[in-house]
Amino acid sequence: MKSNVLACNNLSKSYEKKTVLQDLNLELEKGKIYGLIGRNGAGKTTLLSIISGQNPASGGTVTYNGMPVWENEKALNHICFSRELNPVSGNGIATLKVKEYLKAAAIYMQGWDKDMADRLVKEFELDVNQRINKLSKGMMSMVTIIVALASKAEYTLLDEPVAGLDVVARENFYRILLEEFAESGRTFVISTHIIEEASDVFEEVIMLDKGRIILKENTMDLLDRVRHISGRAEEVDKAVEGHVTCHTEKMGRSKGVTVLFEQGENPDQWKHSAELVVQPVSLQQVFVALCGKEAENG
Amino acid sequence: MRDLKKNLIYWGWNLEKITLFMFAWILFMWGLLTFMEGGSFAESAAQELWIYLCMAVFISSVSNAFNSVTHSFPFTVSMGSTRKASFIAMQLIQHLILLEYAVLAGVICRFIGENAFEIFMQYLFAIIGAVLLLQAFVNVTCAVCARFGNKVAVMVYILFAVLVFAGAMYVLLSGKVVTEDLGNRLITFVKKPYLPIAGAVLDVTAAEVYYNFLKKKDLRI
Repeated sequence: MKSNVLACNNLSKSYEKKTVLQDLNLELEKGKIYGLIGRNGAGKTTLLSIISGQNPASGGTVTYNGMPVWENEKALNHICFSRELNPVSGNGIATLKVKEYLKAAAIYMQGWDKDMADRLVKEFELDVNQRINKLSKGMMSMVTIIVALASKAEYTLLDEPVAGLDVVARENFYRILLEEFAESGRTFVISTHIIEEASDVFEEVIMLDKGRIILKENTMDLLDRVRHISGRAEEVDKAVEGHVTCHTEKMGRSKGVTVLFEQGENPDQWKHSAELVVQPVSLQQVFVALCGKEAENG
Repeated sequence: MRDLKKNLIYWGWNLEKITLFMFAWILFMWGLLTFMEGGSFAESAAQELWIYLCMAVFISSVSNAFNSVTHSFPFTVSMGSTRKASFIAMQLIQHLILLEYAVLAGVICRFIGENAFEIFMQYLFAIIGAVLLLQAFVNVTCAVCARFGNKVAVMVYILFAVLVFAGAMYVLLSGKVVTEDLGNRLITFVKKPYLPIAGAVLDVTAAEVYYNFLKKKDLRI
């Protein structure tokens, strides 16, 4: 048994007839920043709420250091899931004032750092007397960020923390997150749709599609082994034969395809026709390639 | 244990706030109406304050309970509490608030005069029994709310209110229902501890049913 590991074992979740998570296995090691990405409805929030013991799984278990997380005070003390807030959150949570929300967090979270919370409130220029449902989307995100960071929980899960934040505020968030990470070595799991700018922050990326984890890998290693290849259709087909491909785009007689090379294989040493264009891809492009639909034009 | 302590602090803070607001509302309404009628405050306290108090007990029990099942309970779980600790703390604080109302009623009776306080003490078992029965009823409707949703629970409340109203109208309109003998027997019965015992049993049973619905419920947080 690994120490300081939050693990999901054969996790599944269904709502009546709809299956949201299927037989999912995942290990979150201590001291990493994970990016959890997936399309709308992929099951990201459901997964985070089950990992944090807030909702029950239909099957399987979640353990922290081998202990079940569900209804276990000892395990729950090490996990914080700061949920995305919206004007109608949770039948009334949104009617709380910011200061009431933070007070509740201070009561419940064992390692609550009040100084940090106060500092972040000042930094984000939040009015603590405002009700949550009167805040802008960006300011609601700031509240969830404050709760997540000041919780000092060993495992901190954030659901869409940058939703609605402007670019300056997002940069601020990533800076504060990295400072906190460097200082504390806590584990962060961040679900987001703004993949491109967060990719530098994620040490590992977890891709969720239709309730299954389709990929969990070190971000740099992943980007190193994925390439976009384009050129004449016949030449592309010939070149990529035997490789794992996804997201084919066709435009007339040209074709583009994303290739996932084997782990350890170096795409830069891959021999191919000089007429083919081989380009590195961004994390967002990898995501679209793996989770998007095939594109065909002309 | 630590989880329970955190929950007691949160639930105490959360529900006492509403209760204090309700106390203030009772005093304000009573004071305002007495002032507008131009009557004596002492007389009015003896004649009318208890009506406001009963209303406040009912309204705050119902609103606290609904607020708890739809909002506060999911919120505490989202903050990292176990469901069990949150539920126990919620029940304890709700009962504490009812106890506060009972004490307030005693204080008001004391303020009105020796006689009123004596009567209050004579009916103490009946008061405790009524309070526990009310809490049992609240727990049943919250269980309905947790299992079938708000709308069904509201319908249960409406049905309850209609039954109480219909019962009261029946008693008032057919004067023969409550004979002097039956009235005396009823008074003797409510002065004995049967009502609190029955109330406690029903309350605990209803709380158990309520928790069974809540413990594996998917919370919309």
